[in-house]
Amino acid sequence: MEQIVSMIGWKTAKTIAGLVGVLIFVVFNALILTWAERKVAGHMQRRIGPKEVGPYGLIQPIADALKLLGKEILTPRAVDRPLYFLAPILIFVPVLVSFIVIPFDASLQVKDINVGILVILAFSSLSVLSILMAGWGSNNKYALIGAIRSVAQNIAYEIPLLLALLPVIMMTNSFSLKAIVEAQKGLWFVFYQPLAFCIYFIASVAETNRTPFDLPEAESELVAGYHTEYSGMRFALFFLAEYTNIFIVSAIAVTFFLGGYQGPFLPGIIWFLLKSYLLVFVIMWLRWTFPRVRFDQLLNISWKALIPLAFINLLLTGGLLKL
Amino acid sequence: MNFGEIIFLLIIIVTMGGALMAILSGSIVYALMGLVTAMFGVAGLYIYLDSPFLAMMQILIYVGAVSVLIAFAVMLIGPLYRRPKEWTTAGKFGAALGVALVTLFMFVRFVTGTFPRGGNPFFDMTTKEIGRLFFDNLVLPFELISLLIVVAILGAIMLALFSRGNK
Amino acid sequence: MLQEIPSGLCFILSGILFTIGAIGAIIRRNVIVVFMCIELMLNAVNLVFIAAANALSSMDGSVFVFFIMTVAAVEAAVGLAIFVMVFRLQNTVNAYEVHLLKG
Repeated sequence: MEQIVSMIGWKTAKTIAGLVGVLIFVVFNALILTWAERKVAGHMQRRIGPKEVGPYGLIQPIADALKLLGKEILTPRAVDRPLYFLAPILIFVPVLVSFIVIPFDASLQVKDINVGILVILAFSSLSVLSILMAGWGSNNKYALIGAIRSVAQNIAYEIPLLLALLPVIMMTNSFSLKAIVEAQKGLWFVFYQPLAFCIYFIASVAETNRTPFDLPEAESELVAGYHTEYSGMRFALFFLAEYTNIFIVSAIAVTFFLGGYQGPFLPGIIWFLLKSYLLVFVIMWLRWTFPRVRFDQLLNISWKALIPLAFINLLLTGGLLKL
Repeated sequence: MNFGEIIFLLIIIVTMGGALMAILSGSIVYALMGLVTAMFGVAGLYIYLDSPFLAMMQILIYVGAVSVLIAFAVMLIGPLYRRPKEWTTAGKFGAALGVALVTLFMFVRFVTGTFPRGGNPFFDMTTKEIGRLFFDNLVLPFELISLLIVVAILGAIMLALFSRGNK
Repeated sequence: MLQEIPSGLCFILSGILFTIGAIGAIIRRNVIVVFMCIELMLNAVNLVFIAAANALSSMDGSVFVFFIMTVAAVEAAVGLAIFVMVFRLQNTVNAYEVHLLKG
């Protein structure tokens, strides 16, 4: 152990340890979120949700995961093999990279990069590409239509997402997530930038392909979208990435607008997780409240409402900062 | 050879492999994947050259925007399109060889030539400095570029609308 | 450990990258692949700019890269729209078969 650390250097060793921690957290988070999703869905529909396996059905996701692992991994004959195999792995890269820069607590961060938010946004564009690979590689028309829809949607919503984050960056003069959290010691940015927060939240729901913007995987028309042809462990990877993405967008919202790890009495990590999971709950709540939008409506919301509003907000912020 | 150099060599290999895949592979989708790999490699090189901001911009613009656009065009054109006989004639091969030699010669000449070193060694290529330069010395080109983008977007929309109205 | 990479190596590298792109633009006929090769060449040029900026401790190179990136994005938007139009009108994107100026 000592030898390894001395060989690769202390900093690198710390980063690797952080990455392992992130992996554990990703799996744990996905387990909790699948359980929470079913529980929330149940209670919203006046059911109880899972309750048989463990207390309150808490061990249900582990049972599900075991079932998924035990399933036969099917590979349809007509798939484009390299793309088909690579896509589930590639969709995981942006997820892991994003966790590197998110500050969970004042000192609990794998690496504070001074272009932190750009790292997250840049690598999240990779997930678009892997969705495209999955859709193309599956050689299935549902998968392809789902992938194309997903990409159109992601492109349309990435712009308001960026534009909603920019005012905060202008106010703090920094891309580093930690600096942004530190700048919110007094008042959270959501009070300065309520509009930006709303725009970011809507866009992030669309970015994660959740209802009401879940057209890429609309099960009533497209079977399951781009992961129609995936089974067993590969499907589980897509699933894991999806749930982790929900957490990541919530975590960014918390970091940018809701004061990050800052709060009274409790330690920072508790505050951070509390706020993040509250936003995750809101995203789940949306799923069982709103019907799915039509595709033209989806694109119109972004291009005709969110982007102009975000631009106006950006201009106003720039003007007010200079006054 | 330390850890950083090994990764640097890996990045070089990945970049070259991606570029070769982009030009040699028969399927457009694989060519696109190669292009994306090469772009990632170049972004990695930017990090080694002390410009992490530009590296992120590279990924954001090339991987996030340009290659996705190309992928869209491939989806609109490729799947319906009968694969052409792509491969090359002797004349083209000769031309390619010529281009390769001339370019390589020029670059070797450039690299072995004397190269003035200047400026302060503790120079920091921060995002702030880049921003300052944009709004200080280079305001006019910056505004012109944004005008160019607007014109291009309008042009693309016009093309799309025109083709729809034609049907 | 990261600062020890000589930028001279990056010059050679970008030269090779540019050559690969140029060869590709010559030997391929599919317009989209040719377009990709052009992007590859632009990337190589960007690399030279940044390596030079690093070697000369000057900011101009990295600023220029921004302009090149923007132009590349614009080029992608318009160029691909044109390719899709050409394909709709002539049912081909092979550079050898597209020889009508008026569809």
